[in-house]
Amino acid sequence: MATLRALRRSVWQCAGTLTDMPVPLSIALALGHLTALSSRALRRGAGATASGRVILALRPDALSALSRNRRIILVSGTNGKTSTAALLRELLETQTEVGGNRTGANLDSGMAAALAVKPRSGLVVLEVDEMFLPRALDELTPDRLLLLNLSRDQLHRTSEVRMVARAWRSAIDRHPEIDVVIDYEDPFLAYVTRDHIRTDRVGFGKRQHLDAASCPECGAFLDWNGPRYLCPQCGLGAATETLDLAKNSIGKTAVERNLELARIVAAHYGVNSDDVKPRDRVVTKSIGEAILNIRLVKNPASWIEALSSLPKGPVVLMVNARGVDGLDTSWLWDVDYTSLRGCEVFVTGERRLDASYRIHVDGVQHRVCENLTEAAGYLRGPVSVLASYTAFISVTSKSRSRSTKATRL
Amino acid sequence: MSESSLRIIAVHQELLGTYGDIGNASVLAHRARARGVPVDVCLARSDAPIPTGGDIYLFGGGEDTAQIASVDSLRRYSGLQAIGTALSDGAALLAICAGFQILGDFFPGAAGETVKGIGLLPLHTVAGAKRLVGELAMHSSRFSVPLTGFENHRGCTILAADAQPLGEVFLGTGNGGQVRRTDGIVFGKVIGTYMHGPALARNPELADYLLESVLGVLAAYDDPPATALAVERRSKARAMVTR
Repeated sequence: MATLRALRRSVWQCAGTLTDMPVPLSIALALGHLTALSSRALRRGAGATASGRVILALRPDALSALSRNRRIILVSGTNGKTSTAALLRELLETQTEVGGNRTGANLDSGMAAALAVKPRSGLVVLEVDEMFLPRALDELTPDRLLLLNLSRDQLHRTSEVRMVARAWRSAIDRHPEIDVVIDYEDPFLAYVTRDHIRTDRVGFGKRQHLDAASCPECGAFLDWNGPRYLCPQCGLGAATETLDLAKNSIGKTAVERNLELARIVAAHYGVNSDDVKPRDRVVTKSIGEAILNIRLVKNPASWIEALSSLPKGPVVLMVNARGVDGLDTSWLWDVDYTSLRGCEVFVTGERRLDASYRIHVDGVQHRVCENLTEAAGYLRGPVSVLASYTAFISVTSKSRSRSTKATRL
Repeated sequence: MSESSLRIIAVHQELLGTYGDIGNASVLAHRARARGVPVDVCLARSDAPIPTGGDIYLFGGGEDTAQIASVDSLRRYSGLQAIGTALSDGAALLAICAGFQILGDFFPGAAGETVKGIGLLPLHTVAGAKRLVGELAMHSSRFSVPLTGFENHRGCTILAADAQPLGEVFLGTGNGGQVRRTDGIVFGKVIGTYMHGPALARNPELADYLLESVLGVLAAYDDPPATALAVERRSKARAMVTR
């Protein structure tokens, strides 16, 4: 253990001293590889972020250097990046080998690590953090970009939705050669790709959007009374979609819609497979007689989506407010919980009292529990658990020590 | 709408509703209905004048561009006049964060430029050195318990010399920029604060203060989930100070 730690430290120090001189890419990659190995041996996770950081410290141009000879597909959006990138990879893998940042490390370091893996040619599917997307477009020169959605997230981190949309638009406008696929029912994505000719606009039928009462382009109130949003002032929403799936999309969940989008992307690479089925990122865990189906929900849009597709049966809401969850709980009030009236509801997590009062105001009877184990004690059979990010990590991590670490992000 | 309903006007939610601000309308409605008072919640959109017949007006938080769009709308539709009329008819007003800033004389825009506010409140806001994010708690002579909230802003708000702040801050920053650590303002029946978003959810006493300022003294109402949350947040705030 001590030797490994020393090795890891010396790789870091070596990376530090080398940054002043030009380093061959192969050396940067070898040192990155060593870092990943030591991280894994020390059980500090997959090591993707650490090795990527070493590679980028030695070769700040690593992303563009490693993207040569590759066809890269980027997937971004507020929700569903990891699961959709996985579905897309699965589709493409029916034909060819596909690389990617499978662990969900979606900033520059995670991408550098993913691109460092051999073979350094062929197809790669990368999920990209929303804030990092403009740089990813500039440095990776991808083949294609799939945009899923854009809505309010943890506000102290990503700031305003409109600011992110503006940054995306100017980045996409810098790259007219990239093919883009979007869900056209999201007015922000319509705005982002408005001037981009090479765009597949997929229509799924009207869906309300929490942040789009007014037009992302001109600020006028959008008219939501027609078959799709429409800006009466600048006409956003008036384009004919490339592909109209509205008829077949009634009642579809976000995961199912995202699979459709992944299929459309895959078709461009000659893949038409029906074998891949939508999967929710649900972790199942039994405590006593309760079978807990635990689902990650991380912002108002994903809560609304999760609440709208709940199976019958008891529900546990698990709310934390640490780091990646967003440090406060004000977003709870952006979500309507009235659909939970009459259900058997339990509330837990570090901010259970915030959640308890919130749903109480919506007329939802519930019981407040110290932790998930207490809630499970009242239940048997399948239970839906909706958990905010750090709560999800804490109850789904394999070992106790790791879960403690994960919640301290 | 019946004549006897309490009329809550949530102003420009599409612009000033970034942080779950609509929660304040929900909390007021919930606590009023619990006392048998019927409630109408009206969303006043920024493409129309603000209704004058309201009892409680709510201004929430929002980002720079939205904040400027809101103040533009108020100017275009004589918002100052509408609010002034409502206040002189006995209405109350709660203004939070960006909503608090736009009611003053001026505030900083996205690029640091000075933007004119509507001048209802004797205060102005300048850009602070850094963004202030975290728990905020204060003692206020109007309440027997501390008020607690979460702040997330960059503004530094300076009150006129004779203006009354809402509270003396003991955790977080609040208005900032003055020797005394204070937050917000109490100006007649107007309350301004940097406790962002659904501030009333964590402070039932403040919610009742607003309700009583327009309805008169209300029957006591202990709502256990509300009390549990308020008590927990207050004790956390105290613990954060001593730590």
